[in-house]
Amino acid sequence: MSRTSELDFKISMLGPTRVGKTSIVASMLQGGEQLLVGTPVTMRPDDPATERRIALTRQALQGALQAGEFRPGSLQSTNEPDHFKLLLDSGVEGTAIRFDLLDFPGEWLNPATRPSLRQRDWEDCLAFVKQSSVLIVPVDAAVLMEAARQEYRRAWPAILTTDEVRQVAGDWAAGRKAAGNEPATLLFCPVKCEFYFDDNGGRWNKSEELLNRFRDEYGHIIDRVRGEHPGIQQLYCPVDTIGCVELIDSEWIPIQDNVAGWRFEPVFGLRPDALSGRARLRPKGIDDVLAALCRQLLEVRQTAERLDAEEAQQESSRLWKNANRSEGLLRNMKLWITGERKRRKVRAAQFGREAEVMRHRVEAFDKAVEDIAKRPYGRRVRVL
Amino acid sequence: MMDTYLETRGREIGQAHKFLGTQPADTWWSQGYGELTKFTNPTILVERDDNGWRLYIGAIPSSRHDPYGAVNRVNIVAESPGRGDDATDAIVRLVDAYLRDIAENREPGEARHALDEAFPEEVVGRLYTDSASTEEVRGRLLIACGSLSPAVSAEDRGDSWIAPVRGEKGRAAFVARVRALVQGELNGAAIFVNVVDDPAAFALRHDDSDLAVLVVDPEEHLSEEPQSLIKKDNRPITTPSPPTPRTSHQPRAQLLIRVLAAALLTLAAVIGLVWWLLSLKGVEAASAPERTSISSPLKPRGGPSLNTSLKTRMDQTGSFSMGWRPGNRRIILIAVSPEC
Repeated sequence: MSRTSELDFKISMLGPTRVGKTSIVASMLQGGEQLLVGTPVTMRPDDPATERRIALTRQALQGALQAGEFRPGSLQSTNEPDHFKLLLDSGVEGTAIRFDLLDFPGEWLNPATRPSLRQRDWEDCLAFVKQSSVLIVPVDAAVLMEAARQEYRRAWPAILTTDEVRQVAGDWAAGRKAAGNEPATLLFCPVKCEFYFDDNGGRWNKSEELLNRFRDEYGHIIDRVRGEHPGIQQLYCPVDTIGCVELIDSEWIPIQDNVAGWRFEPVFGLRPDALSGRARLRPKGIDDVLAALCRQLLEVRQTAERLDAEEAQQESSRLWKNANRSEGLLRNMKLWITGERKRRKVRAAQFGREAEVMRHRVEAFDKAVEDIAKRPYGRRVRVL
Repeated sequence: MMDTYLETRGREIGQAHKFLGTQPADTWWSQGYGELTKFTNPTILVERDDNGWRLYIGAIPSSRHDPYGAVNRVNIVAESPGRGDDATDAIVRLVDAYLRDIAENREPGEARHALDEAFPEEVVGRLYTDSASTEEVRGRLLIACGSLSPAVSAEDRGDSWIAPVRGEKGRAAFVARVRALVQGELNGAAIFVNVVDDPAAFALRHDDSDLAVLVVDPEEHLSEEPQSLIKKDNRPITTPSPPTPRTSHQPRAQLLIRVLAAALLTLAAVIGLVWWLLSLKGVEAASAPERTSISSPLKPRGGPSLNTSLKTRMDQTGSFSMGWRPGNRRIILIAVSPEC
């Protein structure tokens, strides 16, 4: 069996509950045809169930906007693992890349909030994470940026579950290395960034401060992953999943029975232009997430296709040699009598044609990867 | 006796979804139906096999909220190794009421109202942290279900079918199937799921037990009347046609021809060899003085008469030759060249 037929890409999301993991998936598919302008690459749901899951998430987001303000916490949090089956079409015929994106309840990251009943489900999720080519870590930008006091910052690890993310991401990186240095990408995606960038209707640019705070809190995760597998590409890709909102209020509320515990409650309001008309989701930065994702998946697929094509070419040559080889008078007669010689030639010809198709596909993949690679990341993105 | 479990979130940070009191042995609903439904949205799963029956009712809204402002929803699980009793009738009422709430878009609905009454904020807060609350949870749940109007009475259709939740007949048939399952009248399943509507998707999952399916069908592709699901076994067989006799016999005929040709070739080679050996002797015999003629009525076309003294040789064209060598009294040879 060829490598490419065995490829089943997996992508995992790793972050605290309510950070906006599901919203990132919904944004990724928002107008998938337009996201990578200038390339033939598109992304779409691969089955009706995923299409409906995305639609339900979008409905919830859109519904939350209609009230004139947006409280991210008012959205239902994921309480069971959700699989999104997606399809990345590179524009090369017959080479659509299918992948499975897992979104699981953020509460399961922390053993203290993970119900004992869910231990088996959690182990299933961990197994999936370990096999993933791409790990997406959503980061709550508002929690980082609105922590004006030191005591709020001390609550970051608990709210952002950075220690748990570090552990799982570190194990994932080690697993990638053990699996033959497989290429892999770790995407840190600050979300709820509408208030900190001025490129999507925002009034201020606080992007450098956000990056610095991100490094303060997530630096140890970056280091751990790099230590486990230096070959993993780590990117910082801030995202607006809503787009038409900005932070109007926020509150740090002490948690009962926990002297160092705080919870953060932001309130986002609709921007004037959204208030005057129908508020529409206007994601930003998600195209960079998608580009990184495409590049990763296409490169892995390209490598596999190339190896398959080379093997097919070698096999084709071997088959032709075998078909034309003289094996002595009697054996040649036997090959002729039994029709084996003819069969060998037919098989060699058939394999030759397949090898040729594979060679063309590799060339097309090279072109697709080149197109994606040429496309520069947006100015929000940083290579870590 | 039926075991009941209730899962919900607490009011405080860190009070994630959790079963109050004891919890079921496993998450069969998540393992078995995760591809068909999104559990944050209304879902009903009931199944029965030789080990008993299991029921899951998910995402019933409540008037409670979590610390972030999201509605706290309630999930109910009931399981029993045996047949139904009065308590199961209460659970069937909950199924019926919840389906009507969903279909009629009632918010707050009857199911939510009943559960809110039985599980107010302060009670949930207490039960959340009390692991010995199983009996209280069960008692409150049954009271809540018992307060609902009796479920519609309908006959179970007794086959596999699919219908949209908006249709009254479909809902009635679904409730009848749930009742039949929990009362042990048949094995099978009744499921209301929210991300798959295509009847083919359910037909493929269906083997020998009857399956009743309610779906959301937001685009109204399905008629309101329940429609039968096609069992996989009853589908027309679409396996590839067997090979035609021509193609199946062709290789054997070719093989036979080749074997015959090879045999003739071998024979020709042997004749050639023998002839060559005899020729050597013939040269010696040519010096012998006497020859005898033999008469024969046979006369090969275009060939010499057998009356003649035959010069038994492979002729130059290689077609055939005959011969008689009186000195050996045994040789008549026929050779066919491979080109024949």
